[in-house]
Amino acid sequence: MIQPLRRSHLWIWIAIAALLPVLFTAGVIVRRDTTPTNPDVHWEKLK
Amino acid sequence: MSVQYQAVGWNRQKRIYDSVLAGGILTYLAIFAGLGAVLYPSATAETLLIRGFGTLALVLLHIILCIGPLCRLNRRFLPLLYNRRHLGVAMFLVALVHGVVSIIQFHALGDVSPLISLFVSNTRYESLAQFPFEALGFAALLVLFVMAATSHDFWLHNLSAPAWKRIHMLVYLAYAMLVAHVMLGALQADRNVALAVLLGVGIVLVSSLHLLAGAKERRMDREIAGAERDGFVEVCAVDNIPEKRAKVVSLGSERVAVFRYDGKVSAISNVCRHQNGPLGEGRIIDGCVTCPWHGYQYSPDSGASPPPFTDKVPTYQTKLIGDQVLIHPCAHPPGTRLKPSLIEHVIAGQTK
Repeated sequence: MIQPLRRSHLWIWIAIAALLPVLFTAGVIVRRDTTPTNPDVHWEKLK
Repeated sequence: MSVQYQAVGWNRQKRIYDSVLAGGILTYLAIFAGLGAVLYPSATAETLLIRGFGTLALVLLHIILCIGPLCRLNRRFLPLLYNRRHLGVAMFLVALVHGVVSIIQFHALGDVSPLISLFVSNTRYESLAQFPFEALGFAALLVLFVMAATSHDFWLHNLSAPAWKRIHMLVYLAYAMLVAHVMLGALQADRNVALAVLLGVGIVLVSSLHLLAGAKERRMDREIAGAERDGFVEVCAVDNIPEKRAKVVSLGSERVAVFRYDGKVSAISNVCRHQNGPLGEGRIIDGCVTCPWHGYQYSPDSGASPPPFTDKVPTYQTKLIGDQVLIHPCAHPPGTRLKPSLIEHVIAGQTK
């Protein structure tokens, strides 16, 4: 009765285990430097 | 286990579980706010609130996703499973606070509706670095809402356990979307290495545990029952079944729990009617098979719950030949009382 659920569960996690590390790596690679060009100027200090 | 629906069937275990949960949540938020104020003095209260609740929701989701496979791999984690739905609802509420405060902070101050602004203020779907990650968080929050709203036993009984489980497997989709939400959102704006490392460790931990547990279940399903005799299949020697416990055997796509108790052997379906818990991993308490997940009980010879409860599971005919336990692979309708096989009788017959 619940063997199909167990099978789907395993396949879902095989897909997640393959997909998320790829996304994680891609996300780390495309990270950009958000430091302002002039590090002395920061919007929080201008409030 | 309760005959009538109640908002929460409180008992001592649930009170302890929820107290620890509430204490943990408050402690985390206090530590996060305190450390945040010290380490980032320029951070606003709203920023700390958004980040505190956001990281807490992510931590809770990782804990929730680890509990299931940990219980499949080691029975010592079963107490964590008992009240996991309260943990899930708490996680949804924490995520909701994060979402609502974020929308107010970043989308409520313009002349466009905050919910419309959420989807139209950034439409750079083609860019990974500037992806509109808010949409992913919103979609995940909707999934978590559906799960929290249907978490009560009322929905579990009315939808049936398999359908309810299918709906609640959407948490895996929500998890993938939340990881993407953090990866393309917070981790793009903040180059903090610690957050990236923690998220990476979380992904590896959760995925590995689920794959290990899945592989273990697959091995169990592939274990073929023994030789067939007169339509019955061999399970094991009776001495291999501990008293008041069961041996679980796979018959095609079904698992059957063969219990030994008080000099008798009976077999019932391994699947609890409540949440499909593994009855064969439970034990016989007060004469009833007791599910290790939430304590639902069934008579081992009839598969019926003791009155006034009405839950029933299928039963299987057993037979003893020598010291071997055999079961017939055809399930009897749920609640069918079958005569248990008597161990003493067989042993006495052998010694004559």
